[in-house]
Amino acid sequence: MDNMRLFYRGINAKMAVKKYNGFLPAVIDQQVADSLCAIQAGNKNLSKAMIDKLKRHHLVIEKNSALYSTIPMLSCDLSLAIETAIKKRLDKDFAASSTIAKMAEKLADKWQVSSHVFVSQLVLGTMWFNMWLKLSDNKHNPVAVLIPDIDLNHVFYNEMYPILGNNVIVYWQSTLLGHPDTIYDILNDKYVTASIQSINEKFEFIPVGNALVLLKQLNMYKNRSDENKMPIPFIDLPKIDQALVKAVKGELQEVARVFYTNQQVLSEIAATFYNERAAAQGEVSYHNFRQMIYLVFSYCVVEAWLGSGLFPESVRIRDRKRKHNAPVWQIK
Amino acid sequence: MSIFEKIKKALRGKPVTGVALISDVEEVQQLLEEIVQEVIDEEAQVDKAGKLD
Repeated sequence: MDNMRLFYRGINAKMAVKKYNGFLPAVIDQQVADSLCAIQAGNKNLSKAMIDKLKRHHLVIEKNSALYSTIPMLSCDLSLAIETAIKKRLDKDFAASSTIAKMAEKLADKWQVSSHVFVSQLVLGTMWFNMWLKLSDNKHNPVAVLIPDIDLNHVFYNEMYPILGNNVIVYWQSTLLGHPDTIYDILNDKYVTASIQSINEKFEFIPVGNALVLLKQLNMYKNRSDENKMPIPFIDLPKIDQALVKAVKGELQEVARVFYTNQQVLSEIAATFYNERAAAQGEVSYHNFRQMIYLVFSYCVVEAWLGSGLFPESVRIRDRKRKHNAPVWQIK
Repeated sequence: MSIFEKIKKALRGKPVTGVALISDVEEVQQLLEEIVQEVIDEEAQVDKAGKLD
């Protein structure tokens, strides 16, 4: 169970950092991420304060008067090369799309409302990452710290938000078509937080400030009437529970078997790429480097799922924030 | 085109968000962990048997 916290950074990032030796993406600020990319791209114009900070946290090593990042940067070129190798070596249905299709058929109506979260959070998020951790050489190894090209970072942004007892709100969105913080902003808005703190066992809550306006954007609540015919808002979302997971247990086992086979091949691919890595990544550990291969694999899986037409259409949430033009880095 | 670019293209006009409630979150995680562990044990047995052959 402890392993899972690593991926649910919204819940307990601090605990994860305390228990494991690595850094979580949430712990690395944007400035640090930019600096690490800059070092791997050959840019040496960093402030002394930043260099000291990176050294202090063991994010860079100085060797022969040159700085080397200990954290790999996944450039577009590298991701393309990894993707090609993955698709060449793995089975055609490496994403288990045919099994996902069986799940969709079994869950029918429920699939229509919760399929994205189901596969992104549970199948890919929990199962694949769990497989990856369990088959890892040492479960106390650092967690993936990946700095892809900044503009393409966090293609899929997953987060969990504790709501009441043993319940969480889980969401995912692409940062490519919307700002990554849109749902995050809403769920962490002070009025929304205050409203959700008032939630009772029936998921009813007392709205504070403009919380209802914000929650409406995510279609997160409905109203029911009390005995005085006053409307009482309650959280109403597509639900995933034990029964749903049990209903597709056989299919989930099939997916896990595919992931098991994939993991072995991915390790071999990782070893090849690691041996041929760029000089700028000379001080990156094999474990950290291997995470990049797993990340690209995860994207390949999502791409296959998206291309399979298994997901129903849904409405985009409105986004008033605009993406800024982020720099593009290349490893030299 | 990198994998990220391809996903960007695949996502165009497709759904990009999903919000859901996971109830029994600990039990759900436990179930998935058990499934993964069972499969790892099974497959490790198969690998072992294959090597012995």
